[in-house]
Amino acid sequence: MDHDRAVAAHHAPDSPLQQFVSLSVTLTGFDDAELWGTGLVNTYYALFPSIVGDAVFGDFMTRWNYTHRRGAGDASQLHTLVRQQILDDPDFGPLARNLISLWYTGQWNQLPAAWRNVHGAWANDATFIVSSAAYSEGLVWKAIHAHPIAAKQPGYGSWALPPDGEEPA
Amino acid sequence: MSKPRSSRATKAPPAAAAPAVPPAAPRPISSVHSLRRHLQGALELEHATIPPYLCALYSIPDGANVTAGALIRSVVMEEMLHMVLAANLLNAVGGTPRVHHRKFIPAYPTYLPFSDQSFLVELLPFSRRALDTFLRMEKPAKPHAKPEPGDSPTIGQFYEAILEAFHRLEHHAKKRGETIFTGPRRLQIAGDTWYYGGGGSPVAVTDLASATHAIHEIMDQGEGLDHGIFDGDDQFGQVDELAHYFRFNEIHLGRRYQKTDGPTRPPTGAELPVDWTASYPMAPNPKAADYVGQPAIHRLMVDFNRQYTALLRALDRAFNGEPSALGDAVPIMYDLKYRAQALMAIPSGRGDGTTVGPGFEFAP
Repeated sequence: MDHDRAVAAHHAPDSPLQQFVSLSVTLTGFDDAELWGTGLVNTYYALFPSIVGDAVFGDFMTRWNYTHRRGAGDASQLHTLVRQQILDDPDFGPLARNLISLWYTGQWNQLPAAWRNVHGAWANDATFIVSSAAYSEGLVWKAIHAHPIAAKQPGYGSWALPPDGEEPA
Repeated sequence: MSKPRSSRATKAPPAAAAPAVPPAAPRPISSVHSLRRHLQGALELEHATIPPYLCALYSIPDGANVTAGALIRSVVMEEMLHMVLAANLLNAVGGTPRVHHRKFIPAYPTYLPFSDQSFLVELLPFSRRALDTFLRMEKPAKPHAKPEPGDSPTIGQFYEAILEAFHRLEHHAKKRGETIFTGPRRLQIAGDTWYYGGGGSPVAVTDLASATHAIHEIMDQGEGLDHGIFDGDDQFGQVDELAHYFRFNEIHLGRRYQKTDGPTRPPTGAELPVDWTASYPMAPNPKAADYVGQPAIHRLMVDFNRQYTALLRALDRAFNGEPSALGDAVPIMYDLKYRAQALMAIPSGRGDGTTVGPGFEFAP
């Protein structure tokens, strides 16, 4: 499985998988190496269509590709476009927020009632933690320079050391 | 090696004048200075085995190859113990263990220090090729094999030469009313202080008996007690544990040893399921410099190397009068594990389906 992941990732730089990674990079603020390092890229890539269906997920990715192309080479322009075209969009905003939630906490949140009224209530669209790995690899732990509670033990006495990545005062 | 342990420990040193050694053979360790050099070499040798074992271990994804992973892990833990024992031996004879410098870390692929250079050791993911190398690294010496202080065919012969030198040099020192055990006692790392969780309990080395004990511990865990398959480790609270070679052979052959098995025949115990496809396909011998064109990966590689170097710095302090620094080393070891596992999951971008992996390079 992991071999396939790597092959898929690398043989097609503009593949849908890579586009999914670039969207994730833009929405999370973590770079692609860090996202791959969680081991969850393919899990989340497969999860989306399994919950909201291929058509909705395809439209979401199409919107991202359009936005990405328009904002290419200008970070602040891209930032503005992502807000306008994706986060503020009633169809795609909830999906984008769910993607952020997945990466940071490993949790899929049931989509809002307003979204479900328009796009239908999908059977798998319930709030759940994707897996134990999704929990322990959540970006929230990296963001706060802490270890996931009850996972990835840091060792005796580690509480006396400055947090990893902490800037010196 | 074929004799019972008690006779080994009291082996009479060869008379200095006797022409027992053929002219072509390497000269035995002739002075305390040379003994210290060999013990620093022992530290480098023990350390050189750890990155290859860790690469295999960390390339196994969660939930896959559970038994194989546990076996490799148990060997790594004992190699770490061997590093501490080598440092204790070196400190006991007034030497200075040095582990935080550029030359301490081999550049993989590498020959093992003090080996006969008959095979290269690489950083590889869990694979048949990796296991083949591990078996060569831990290959037991043949019965009656000569001690070899340099260019040793096996690690056991290298330690046999060190053991012989301890006995001979201490014997000569005693005759002069002196001892080779001149190092301060406070430099010894013992099991009751800061060492925890790692492959047994370190022996403080203060005299010939404890030095012999420490060397036997290294040799028996590595290649087996007196040419059996077990390491004879009951006094370390580990009952009937296989020597390293035989643990790797279980993975290699996919079958466990049982008590009645011997070293010359394959194991006859229960099947040990191994899935050779269930590992991250790490590109061999990763180097940070290979990824300068991919800054996000390069940064993670450098971060790993810096942490690894910080670990060596902590060990250097621990071996040189600050044993509490071992307490700092343990959190770094955990951190390195998580970093290595992340690197294993990142595509290398080489076009061959490989992933990145930890480089274990010196980065002060």
